[in-house]
Amino acid sequence: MRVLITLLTAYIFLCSQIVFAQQHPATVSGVITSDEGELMMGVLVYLKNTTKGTQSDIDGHYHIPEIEPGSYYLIFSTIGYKKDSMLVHLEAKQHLKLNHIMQTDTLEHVEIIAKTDYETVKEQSYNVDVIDATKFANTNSDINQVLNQSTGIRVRQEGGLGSTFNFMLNGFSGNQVRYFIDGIPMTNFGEALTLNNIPINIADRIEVYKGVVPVWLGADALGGAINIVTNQKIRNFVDASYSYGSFNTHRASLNSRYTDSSGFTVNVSGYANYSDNNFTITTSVPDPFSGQFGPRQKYKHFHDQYKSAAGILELGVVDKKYADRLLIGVIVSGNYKQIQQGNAMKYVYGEVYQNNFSVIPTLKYSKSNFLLKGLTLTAFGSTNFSKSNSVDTCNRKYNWDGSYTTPLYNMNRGEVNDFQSYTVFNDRNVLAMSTINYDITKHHNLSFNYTYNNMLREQQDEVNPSRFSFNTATLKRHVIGIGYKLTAFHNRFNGTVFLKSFVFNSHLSKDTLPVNLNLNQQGYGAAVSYFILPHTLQAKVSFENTYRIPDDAEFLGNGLLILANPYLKPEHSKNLNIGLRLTKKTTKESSFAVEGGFIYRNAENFIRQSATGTPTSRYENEKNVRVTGFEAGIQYNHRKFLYFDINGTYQNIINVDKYSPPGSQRINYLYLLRLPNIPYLFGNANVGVKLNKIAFSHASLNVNLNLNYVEAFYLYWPTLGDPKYKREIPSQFTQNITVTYALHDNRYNFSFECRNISNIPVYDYFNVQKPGRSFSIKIRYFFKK
Amino acid sequence: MKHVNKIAVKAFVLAFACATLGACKKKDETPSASSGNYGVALRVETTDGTADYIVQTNSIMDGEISAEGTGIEQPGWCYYMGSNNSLFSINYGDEGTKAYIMNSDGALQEKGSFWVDRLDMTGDFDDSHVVGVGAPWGGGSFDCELMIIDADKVAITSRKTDQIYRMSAADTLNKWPSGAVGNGNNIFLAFYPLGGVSWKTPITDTAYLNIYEYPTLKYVKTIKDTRSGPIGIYGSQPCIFKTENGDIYTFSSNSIAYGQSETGNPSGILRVKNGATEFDPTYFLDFEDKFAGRIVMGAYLGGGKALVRYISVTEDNAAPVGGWAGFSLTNYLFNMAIVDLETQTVTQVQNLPKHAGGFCRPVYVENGKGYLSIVSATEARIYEIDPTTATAKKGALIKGNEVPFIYKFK
Repeated sequence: MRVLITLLTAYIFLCSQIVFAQQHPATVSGVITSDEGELMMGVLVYLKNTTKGTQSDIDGHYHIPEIEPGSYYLIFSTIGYKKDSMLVHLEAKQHLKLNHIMQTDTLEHVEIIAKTDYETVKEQSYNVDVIDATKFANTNSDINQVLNQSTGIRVRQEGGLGSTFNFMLNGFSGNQVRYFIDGIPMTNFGEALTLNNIPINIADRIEVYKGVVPVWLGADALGGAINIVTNQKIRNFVDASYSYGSFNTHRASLNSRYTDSSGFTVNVSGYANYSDNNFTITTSVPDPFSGQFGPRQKYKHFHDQYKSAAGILELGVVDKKYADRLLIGVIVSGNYKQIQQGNAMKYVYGEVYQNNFSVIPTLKYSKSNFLLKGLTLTAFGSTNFSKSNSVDTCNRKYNWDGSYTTPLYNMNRGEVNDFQSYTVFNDRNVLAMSTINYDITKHHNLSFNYTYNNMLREQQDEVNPSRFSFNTATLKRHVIGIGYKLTAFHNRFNGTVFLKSFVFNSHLSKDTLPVNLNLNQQGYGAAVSYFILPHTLQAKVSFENTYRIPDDAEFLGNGLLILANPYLKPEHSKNLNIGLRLTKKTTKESSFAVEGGFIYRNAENFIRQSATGTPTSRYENEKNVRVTGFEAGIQYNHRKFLYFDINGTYQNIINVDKYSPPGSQRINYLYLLRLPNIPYLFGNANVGVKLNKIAFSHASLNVNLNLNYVEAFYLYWPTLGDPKYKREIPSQFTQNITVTYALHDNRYNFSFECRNISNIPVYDYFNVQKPGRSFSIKIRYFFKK
Repeated sequence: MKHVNKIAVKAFVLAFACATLGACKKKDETPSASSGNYGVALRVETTDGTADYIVQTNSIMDGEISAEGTGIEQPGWCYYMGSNNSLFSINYGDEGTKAYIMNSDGALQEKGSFWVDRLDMTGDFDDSHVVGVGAPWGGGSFDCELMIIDADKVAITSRKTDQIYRMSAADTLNKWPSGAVGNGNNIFLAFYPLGGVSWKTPITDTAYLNIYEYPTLKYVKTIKDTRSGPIGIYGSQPCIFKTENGDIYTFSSNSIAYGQSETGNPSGILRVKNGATEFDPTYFLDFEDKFAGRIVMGAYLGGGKALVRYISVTEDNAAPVGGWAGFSLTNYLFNMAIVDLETQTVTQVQNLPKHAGGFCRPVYVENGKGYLSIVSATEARIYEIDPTTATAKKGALIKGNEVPFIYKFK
């Protein structure tokens, strides 16, 4: 009862305050400009020692309503400008007009501590790389090509646009690394939304978490995670581009958002890719009768066409009482891919293709101060309805010149396999994830993530109905994570500890296999960082004991010669990162950063496909590896005029299996040897120059040179065999250049790009030639409001 | 931390010294001298990291067989054969099948190469001609490709697409080639029926041999014997050989551990007498009856003695169907025995550990003794097997997983 009375009293008191103030309120408003005469958005304007305040809008306009008459200090404050304070007297009903000019701050007086998103992410305690994707917006790159310039990452691609790729981060590859868009796992976004496909324009930045993955990403990653972050801040924009290049490659991309004053918002984005990939390769063709090799000749890829398209539509509201963001949407995507060759250049195909079509309804919700102050809820849900086909129904035998022979009898062989097949996968994949982030106080934060994934697969072979040993499979995965973060010593110290739990169960039908599989595994980790010199020198240490639950294909096999292995154990790794980062702003627009780090990975039960000469193979927990590595980078910006960065990676990935095969008592003579066929030393450099006012006052010219180096590495074990007979992927030094001419303050952009300027033969794999020198042009329109 | 940073800086400097120079010069490693008349194929790992090396050595009985800094690296997992004083490594990749000869300096040198889609079985026709068969994996097609490889020309000199044997028009089974031998103008090809997709073997009551004319590969006839089961099985080469007097002997396996999905007529040895084109009705060595074992591979050592690898009937029956237990290098299921072909006596080889099977390749024979790689629980080692005493002697230690092939250059 007493509580009630107290609350009531307080309520009445509050109301009376409001009523009193509103009897004769005053207002203050005006326009804020910079000392260079530009209208300034986002300037904080408030009355000192009150709760009254606002921010200037896009037109520099500010307005503070309903002010109780009296004397106040009116404060104008924004990053990079002097904080101004002026005494104002407000009479009842007075509407004071007060325009203001902000004075540029000089470094002598105030240390600029404004942080971009880039820096905020970068300064987390995790070992995280952040790539500013906007720098690449005018290039003709996909996400993979941009990531390939980062430390610790090698993307190895088999051919041109759309070709199969192997993403490798610190020695971990494939599914050992998990991929996200805005924190949402990409696994159920369909085959057309993959890293080798998505144009860079869709991204604002890309975050690369190495070894230690934050709780909110909700994944069972073994080696790290990639998070592609799209721009959520601009309320209205259009970013449209089209490019055309060598090998008849067309790429178009559109990103746009409309938000009205009521908070109604529409996102429309999409892209389309097309390429003939008709690049030239050199090979010697064996004589069809004697088998003897002919002279080396040039041939063009003739069955390597790739096309893909995706459209994303989202409708909803932003900045409402009940939601900061509530969007319903749909992703529609599809691709079509021809396959030119098998695992050797002698296996030439002319008809085999794969395609995929997905429709994915989505729901996104986020709300800060949800129920409690400081509590942020984000939730995501989607269902992927996807159909994929792999079609190998032609019995022809193709040659590199495009000619073919047809077998005289037994017409039912395929090109890839000896049997014809028309494989259909019908997948339904439900994903639900929610994250609660609670700032208990300024120093203590709790976070919780739950991610649920339910996959239902129906598979059949339309020309070979008895092929699969099971027809439907259901797999359920749960990832639960909880983390606590402490911030102390005036934000100089950051510490996070977290626990994760992975639960998996599956059910197969029509099968002689065990019907139900269940797995449960717990992981944990911690990350700490400390600014030895405030805002300048930061030290970081992070650790995670992590697991990866095997994927569907690894458990289930392919229903044919890859057998199911329901007894697979999760892969396990202990990952450690130690790093130092020095950043220095030399002037307002110039900055300098150096960073270096040590990585350590101790992984066991690596899953790999194990074939021992029998017709069948299965995935097994076989390999134990240890990775030690160093990564370092330097970045330098000079007044938006010059940009320079260089980075390098050394990684030593060694075999720590003492016995061969694992589980036997026989000595492994490869113990402690470096794993072959993986790059171990590589680096990248970028030099960019921007010249303003070229021909027009609103025009600029941007030239960016990108250099890429990979040291030679052996295909097989490094110390075995006479060196003169060893197969080697040669050292490669490639250069790409992009020239962009921008008009109307980057609204219209015209780019010309040349990749592999010196036209050297490039390989990611032994004897698999990638496209040589290529040219492309790109037109991009960018408008924001 | 300072230390770490220093190392990081060093690593960084190193990386970029390389980048700016365009290339890091590799250290010149001096290859360790390789010599010796033996060319030994050494396999260092059996799964996806497989690397094979042809190493030269003077002795296969002493010391170690190692590829440390020596040996000719092969493009992955290879089959091997020897013919016409050349060692062949067979690979389906872009580099194809290569022939190595020994040059006048005593070093191995590539003589030539050719490419073939598949070569699932090879068998000597004579000293310089090899019969090869490529078979379809995964069913769908019954076509096999029969070839004659001229070891001197290092080329295929005859080809024929053939379904080997069709029981009837409704026959849905593939015929997998398991071994071949030449006699006179005839090629004797052993095969067994199996489901192309399932690899199941529903027919286990007949031994089959196809006879073809050399070199035209013209089909002559199929001969059958229902006292035993099919001759040979996938990965169990060799299963057919010719003695000094031209008699041909064949091994029927009937083994679950080597991929048969059901057992049938007993494992044993059949004969085709020199000049005959039918099985010898007077000869059958029932190995299951005589020795309670099943033969998975064998070799002729000369003087009427054969060496066989076998698994006990009890252990074979206990092996999981479709589990290919015999292929695993961690299942030590096998022993060896000496068979006197004339007297039909069988003697177990002494001093030989129980060992793993794997993908079998021909036994090397020198002066009437057999030499092969034996993978036991604790090591892989070459053993010498003397048929006169039926004893084994330890040879060189294998610093790797196994030695799939041994060849001696003249």
